[in-house]
Amino acid sequence: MRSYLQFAILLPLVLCGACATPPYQPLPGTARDIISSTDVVLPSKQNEIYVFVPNSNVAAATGGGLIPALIDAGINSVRTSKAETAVKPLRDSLVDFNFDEALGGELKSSLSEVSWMHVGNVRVIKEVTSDATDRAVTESRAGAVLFATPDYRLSNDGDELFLSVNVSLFPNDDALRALKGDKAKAASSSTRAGSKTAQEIALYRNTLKFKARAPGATSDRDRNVAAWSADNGAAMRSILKLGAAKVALMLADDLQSSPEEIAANTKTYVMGPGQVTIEGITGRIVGTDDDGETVRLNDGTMAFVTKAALER
Amino acid sequence: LTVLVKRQTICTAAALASLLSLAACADQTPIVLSARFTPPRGASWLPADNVRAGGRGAGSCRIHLAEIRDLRSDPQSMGMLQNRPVRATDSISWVRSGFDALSQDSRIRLVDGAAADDDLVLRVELINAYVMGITGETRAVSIVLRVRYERGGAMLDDQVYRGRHDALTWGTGESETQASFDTALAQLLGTVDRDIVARCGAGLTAGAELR
Repeated sequence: MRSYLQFAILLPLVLCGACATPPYQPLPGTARDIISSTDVVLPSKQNEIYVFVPNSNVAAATGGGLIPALIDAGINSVRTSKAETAVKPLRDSLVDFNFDEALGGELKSSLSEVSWMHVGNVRVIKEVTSDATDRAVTESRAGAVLFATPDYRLSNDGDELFLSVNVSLFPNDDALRALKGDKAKAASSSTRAGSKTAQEIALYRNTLKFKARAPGATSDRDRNVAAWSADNGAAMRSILKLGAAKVALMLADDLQSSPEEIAANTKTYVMGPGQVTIEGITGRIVGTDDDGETVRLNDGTMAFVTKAALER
Repeated sequence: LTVLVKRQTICTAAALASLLSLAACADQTPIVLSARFTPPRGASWLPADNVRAGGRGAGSCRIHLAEIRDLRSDPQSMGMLQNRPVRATDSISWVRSGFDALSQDSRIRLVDGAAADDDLVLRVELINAYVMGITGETRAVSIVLRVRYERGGAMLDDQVYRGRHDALTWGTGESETQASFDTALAQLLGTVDRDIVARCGAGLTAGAELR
C-alpha cells in the first residue's frame, strides 16, 4: 500500500523530471555553415515589472494538511497584496516604457553582428503557450527561429533587479533538422502542441541573467522602490536598457564560442581566481567592463552582474 | 478491514490529486473574458450620495465619449494565469461598457452624436490590461488607461489611471479572473468619475450653464 502511495505521488514528479533538460546546450559548429536565416521571437507574457513574492511554506514544514495549506494561502495573499501595492509607484513611472521593444532592439542589433545567423524579423508574442510558439515557427520563413523569453523582477526587498532570458534556437528547414535527427524530422510534420518547440530538438539553449542593485539600496522595500522610481523611473529605465544590452551581447558572444571555449564552458569550475557565486551557482568571471562582470556559471548559463550588485 | 479501505481511499485520492495537478499544469485552455463590464457586487465604486440620487445638478455634467483605442501590441491578450492564456473577447467594448456605467452617477449624463461646445469630451487609450500569477495561488490584475479631456475643441489635460485587484485563485480561475478585471476597472472608473465631475465643475464655474 505504501509503495502504491509513493508511486502515486512520485509519478508526476518523475514525468516532469523526464522532461527536464540541461539549461545550457552549445550550438553545434556545423550549424553555423547551414543557417540560411534566423527570425527572433520574444515570447513575453509579462507586461510590467513585479516584485518577487516567496511562497509560504507552512504546509511543507508541518507535513501538509488542510489547515497549514489555508495558512499558506492566507500568507501568500497578504504578501501579494503588499508587493503589488509597493511596486505601484515604479509601474506608474514606467507607463510609457516598453521593455519588450528595448530587448528586441538590442537582440536585433547584437545578433546582426553574427553574420552567419542572417537575422531577419524580430517580433513579440504576448501569449506564451506551446501552440503559440509552434505557430511562430510554422509562420516563419526563416531556416531557424530563435526564442528569447524574458522575465524581469525586483527582489522581495526591492533592492535588486533580476533579468533572465531563456534562449532556444529551433530548426525550421530540413538541413538544420538533420542535425537533430529523427525527433526533429518527426516534429516538422507533427500537429502535437509543443512538438516544434520541444526543448530536446533545440539546436542551442541557454539562460542569460542580469543582476543590478538599486541606487542607495536599503532593506526597506518602499525606499528602494522610491529610488528606482525617482525622476520618472530614470534609474530603472537605465538599468533595464543596460540589462537588455548585456544579455544581447552575452548571447551573441556565446553563439560564437569556439570549440575550445565550449569545452571550457561546460567544464565545472570548482575553486580558483575569479570564482563567484550567483544565486547558489558557482562560476568564474570571463569578462570585465566599466559596468560590471560577465560570469560563466557551472551549469553553462551566463550572468552579468553590475559592480554595485557584486559588492554585496 | 476498515483501516485498509480507508488507506486505499486515501491512496486513490492522492493518486488522483497528483495526476490532476499534473493535468492542470499542462492545461493551456484559454480563459475568455466577457465584452461587458459588470460592476462588482458589494463594492462602492461610485460616490454613494450620487448614485441614482437624481438631486440638484442631476445630469448636469454632459460627457461625450469620443474614442476608445487599445494601444497594446496584442489587443486580445490579457495575460496568463496558471499557464493558461487569458483573452479578451473585445477589449474596447469592455472598456466602453465600463464608461457607460458612469451614467449611474446622477451628476453625469453620457451623450451620443456630435459634442456641444460645453460638453466634456473624453478620448480613452487602453495602455495595459493583464493578469499575472504572483504566487502559486494568487493573481494580480492591473489596468492602465489614459484619458484625454477636451472641451470646445480644445485639449484640457490628460491623466493616466491605474486600477488593480489581487486575490486568491480558488477554482479554475475563469469567473474569478473576470471578477478581478471588473473590480480593477471599477476602481479605476471611480477615480475617473471624480475627475470628470471636477472638470465639469471647473467648466461650469467658468461660465457654462447647467443643462
